[in-house]
Amino acid sequence: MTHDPEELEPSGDPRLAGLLRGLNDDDFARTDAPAGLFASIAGRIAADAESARSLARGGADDRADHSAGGSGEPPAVVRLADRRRTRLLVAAAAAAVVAAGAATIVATRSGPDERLLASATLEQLEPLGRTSATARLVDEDGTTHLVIDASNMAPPPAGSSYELWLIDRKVSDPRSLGTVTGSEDIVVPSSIDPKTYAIVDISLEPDDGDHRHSGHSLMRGTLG
Amino acid sequence: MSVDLAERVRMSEHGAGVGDAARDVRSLAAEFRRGDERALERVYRDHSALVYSYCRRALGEHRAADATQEVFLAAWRSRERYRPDAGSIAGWLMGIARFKVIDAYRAAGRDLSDPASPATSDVGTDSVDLEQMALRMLVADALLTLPERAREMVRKAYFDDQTHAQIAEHAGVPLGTVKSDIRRGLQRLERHLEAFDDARP
Repeated sequence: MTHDPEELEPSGDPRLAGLLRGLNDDDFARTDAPAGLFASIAGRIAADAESARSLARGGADDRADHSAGGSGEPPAVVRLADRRRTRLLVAAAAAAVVAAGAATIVATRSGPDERLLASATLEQLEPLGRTSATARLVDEDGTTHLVIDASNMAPPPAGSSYELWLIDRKVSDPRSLGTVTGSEDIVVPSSIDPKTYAIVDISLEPDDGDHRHSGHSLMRGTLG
Repeated sequence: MSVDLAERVRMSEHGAGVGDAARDVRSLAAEFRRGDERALERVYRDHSALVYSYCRRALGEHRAADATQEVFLAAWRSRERYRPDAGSIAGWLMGIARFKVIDAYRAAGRDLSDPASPATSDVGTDSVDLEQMALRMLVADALLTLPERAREMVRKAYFDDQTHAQIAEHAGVPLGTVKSDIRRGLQRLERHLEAFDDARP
């Protein structure tokens, strides 16, 4: 069977046929960008916005700070609105997560029969305000536990929950350890080897009945 | 770490961002252009693996994150120049990425203190290669967004080198269906190339 000339060189963009024929496995291979890169981009965008505002304000701030009750726009209102906008920055969940004063530091026990195997500080993958968390992998009488110490973790937005995961280093197979609300002490099933599944991940999961990882990770760290 | 096409297609069903309905994609593009910062997050989520993988392949792991950051910052700062009617956002991002990668490549080439840097390399030739690599990776992504039947037919026609008549016989559909599926598929792929060309440094 022979090719119709139109099949070999279709009309339209003359580059397309050659690009399709030249595709190789490497063209399909993808590596996820490093965790935290988006937070860094968001930070630079926020800095852009801040410097643009400083330019627009000129030296007005200094004067306003020393002349409470003076005439003109109340600068405090402007700044509050600016802050709100900055916080909106790519923070679909963060706006709900960051609740001022919602400190929920829960002390976790550190008994004498606990042996620390590995630990990790979880990095924010998107701006979450003062929320922070660490993870410790401990052995307790031959049982492996993952202990999460979280602080300033606000309740999840309505219709969603936080879920804790251990993920393999290739980030291809997330294993759920269940729903979390803040600090937790969870037994790691023996079917999960934390040496391989070393990435601790907290995701925001919509209550949609889908048990898979939503792809919306809030915090992440690697046990080491 | 190569992933074959079938595997990529399977993964795309797990919400890798390529299965969005056309309407969603259009409204996302409009929100992005208007300066909705949440739209940037979605654009990043959907396309950062493509942009980062390209930067990593062209520049190495060490410089890939910086280059990726520059691409998304440039896209955000020039978002008003993005024209949704001139093609896909993936194409536009990769068009920008191509310029950033070529810039970074040139900068590294001038770094004569680095004995590993290709001091004798011809940047003119390299930039053609770097652009071709960007286009192929873009087309690979775009292929996965086609409806399954069209994708299979394009794959058979261009990877397996089958004639349209052979494809029709295998699939048990009329030849005209094969021709129109492939034509429409190619037209959709072209939208990505248009946006690529529309990007400015």
